[in-house]
Amino acid sequence: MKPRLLVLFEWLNDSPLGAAIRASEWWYPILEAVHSLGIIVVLGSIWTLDLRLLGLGVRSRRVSEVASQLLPFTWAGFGVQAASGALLTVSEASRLYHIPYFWIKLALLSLAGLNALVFHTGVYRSVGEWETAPEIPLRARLAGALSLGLWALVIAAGRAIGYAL
Amino acid sequence: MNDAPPIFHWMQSMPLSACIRGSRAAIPIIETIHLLAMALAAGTIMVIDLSILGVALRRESVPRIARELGPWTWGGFGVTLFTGILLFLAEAEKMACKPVFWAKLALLAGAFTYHLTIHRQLCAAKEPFALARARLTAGASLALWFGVAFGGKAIGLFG
Repeated sequence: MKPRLLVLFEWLNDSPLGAAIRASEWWYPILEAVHSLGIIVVLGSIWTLDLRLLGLGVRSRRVSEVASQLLPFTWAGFGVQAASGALLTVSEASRLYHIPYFWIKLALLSLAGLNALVFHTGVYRSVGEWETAPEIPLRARLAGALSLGLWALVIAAGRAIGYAL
Repeated sequence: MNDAPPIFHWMQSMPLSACIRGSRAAIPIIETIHLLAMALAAGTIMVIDLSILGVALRRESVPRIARELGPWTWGGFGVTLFTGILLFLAEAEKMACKPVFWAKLALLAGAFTYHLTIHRQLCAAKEPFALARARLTAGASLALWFGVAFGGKAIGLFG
């Protein structure tokens, strides 16, 4: 018996939406281009915050200011990436299912999300107390370093999917 | 394919180029570094532009932010350029025959010149600048750098 997930992926692949994207000469390159340019928005905003948490980059701005001002752009960029990524996935679902990098990328994305969740529900709650202190707490620096690395790995896995397809 | 000037054949025949082509992993790895460094350079420029536009980080802080992010932009630039040259050397003849590649290079030259002149002037301005001028300068900068990045993707898609 086929794994249920494979059945789902084949169903997505053969859905009218998947077929329509494959049939069109333009949809796939447009989605690919959008998905590539979205990287700049997501990484540019999140990396600037990550660097700030490490005491680098925009040091003249408070951590809370950088976070509140740039995270909306991270989210907007992420929305574009999720939407374009979902459509690209549907159009190649049957092949993606068998590409390990695809699952590695999803795992890395989950880790990046988990890291952000732990940061925002944890040490970030008391940002007002530590952002003016001479040293940023280790937990915050760790979250910044992890985010920096995890997002780079997400991009690397995404690039590897392109080569494997 | 064979109508590229001899210099590109010579570039491609260098031991370094052959070495990159000879390894299966080299091009994907170099390309990934190229992509990440590009995202750092274009991403930090984007943050400065958003600040100039007044939509993220206060406009008053533009000169300071531009100074603080400058090393990251230039670091990203340097690595993108270096890896880009390696990628070009490995496939010089093929690349030289692609109009998309030359279009990207022309756009890059334009964006680079713009960044060093008009953009830099505005970032260094001591007086607060008019909003209309800010919108135009930052908008053009964003369009140019996203255009260069699109050019890179287009080499793979349509080249």
